Amino acid sequence: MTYRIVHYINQFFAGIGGEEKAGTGPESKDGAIGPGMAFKAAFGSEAEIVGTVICGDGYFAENMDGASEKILKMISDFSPDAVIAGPAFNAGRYGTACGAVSEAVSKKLGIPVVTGMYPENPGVDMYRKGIYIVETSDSARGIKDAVPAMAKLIMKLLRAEPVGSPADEGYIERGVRVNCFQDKIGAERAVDMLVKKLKGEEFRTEYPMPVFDRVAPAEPIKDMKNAVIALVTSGGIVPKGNPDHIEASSATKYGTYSIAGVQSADEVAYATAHGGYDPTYANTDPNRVLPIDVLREMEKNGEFKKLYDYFFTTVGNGTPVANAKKFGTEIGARLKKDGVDAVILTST
Amino acid sequence: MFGVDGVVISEEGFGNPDADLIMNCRRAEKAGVKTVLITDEYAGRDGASQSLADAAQEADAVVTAGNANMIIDLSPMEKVIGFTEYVNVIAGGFDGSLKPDGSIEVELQAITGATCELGFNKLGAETW
Repeated sequence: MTYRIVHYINQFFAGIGGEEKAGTGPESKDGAIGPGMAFKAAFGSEAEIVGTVICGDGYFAENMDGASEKILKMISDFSPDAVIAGPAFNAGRYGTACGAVSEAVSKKLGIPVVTGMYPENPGVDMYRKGIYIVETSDSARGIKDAVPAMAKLIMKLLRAEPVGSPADEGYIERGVRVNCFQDKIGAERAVDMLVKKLKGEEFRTEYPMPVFDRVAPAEPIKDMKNAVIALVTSGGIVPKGNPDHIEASSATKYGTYSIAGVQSADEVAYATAHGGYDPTYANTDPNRVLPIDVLREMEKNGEFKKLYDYFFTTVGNGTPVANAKKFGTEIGARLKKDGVDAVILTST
Repeated sequence: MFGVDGVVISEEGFGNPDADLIMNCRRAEKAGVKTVLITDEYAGRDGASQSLADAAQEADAVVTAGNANMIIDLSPMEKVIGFTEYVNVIAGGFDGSLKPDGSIEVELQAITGATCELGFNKLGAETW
């Protein structure tokens, strides 16, 4: 079968004009135009450029959301199997547009998409995580190398063939960790690395440290007597039976459960779903992880105004930071919306 | 105290031990002792998350034992020793891990020691 491909390019590569025409709005043409001709040659009979969608770089930069939507509509009108964008080389606004269009195609149309940029193009940092960006030279002179690399990658994606490493396929690192087998065991690699480090020789870490965001603690509560307090835990306490099937490790979700009227997290109604610690003591008395009993006592004594009606819970065990961050952001927003003044976070 | 120039710091576990690993690294480096760390990663099933629960600039030499969140498929076995009903609830398993045909889809961490933080196997990870 011949795959149907749509090509996205800017006003310059469409031959409309340079900076003076950058305000050109989105338009759609049948068949291949400009660099699309080179792609057409590279695809041969395997794929066909059924249409080209064009947008001025200035127009796109000034109307990003609206332009994206219009462009997406024009692209989907061709019923394509895949999309290629650019290459944008080192043109910043063009790269950003190619990245944004590619990301929208990937997310909203769910079809393969490949773009191409010079590594220093600002579009790379903005979009490389979500899409394949083939590394190109900084100017259009690099088109000869860019086209075959982009064409090869999009065909792989279309045929659902496994995509290899950035070095093998020519795309820019997406920052995704992929398991592999090394020639030597970890202990030997560690000793080799240490010897090099001690000698002051060059060595290459296998995991470059990420930049960690540190959250500054909030101001202390000044008026405790009028405070609404919530309980949030990563200790895995859930209603017995774990109704939402929160995983014992690597949690993909958190639970939100009402504790209105609940006086104690007793062992009849609650248990832990956590797979990273001996659950005996938590299951004997879940209050040890989710201290509802003590908080109810304090609430009754007027030490604070109210225990918030829900608790949020997940399993903090082999859970990727990205998941944890997402849970935290959502839980925080909900607590804020509901007027909670402070949170007791319990971990295990 | 021991007068060493360098130290290899291995790890057991993740999460809180990540914080220990990083703190030990930072203190050793500040004391002038060169470090190499051996750890595994929890980078998410898609590999896109940052991998450790803590980080430090000083940790510039790390050996990775692989991403423990990676999904693996285990084919059905003709003979099973032990029990399969726990597959969905063990660490690394999830609702639906045990398939009707007896095959198992789990995160690599379900196999204890697969990402060996003592550096006793050849598994590693790279950035794609």
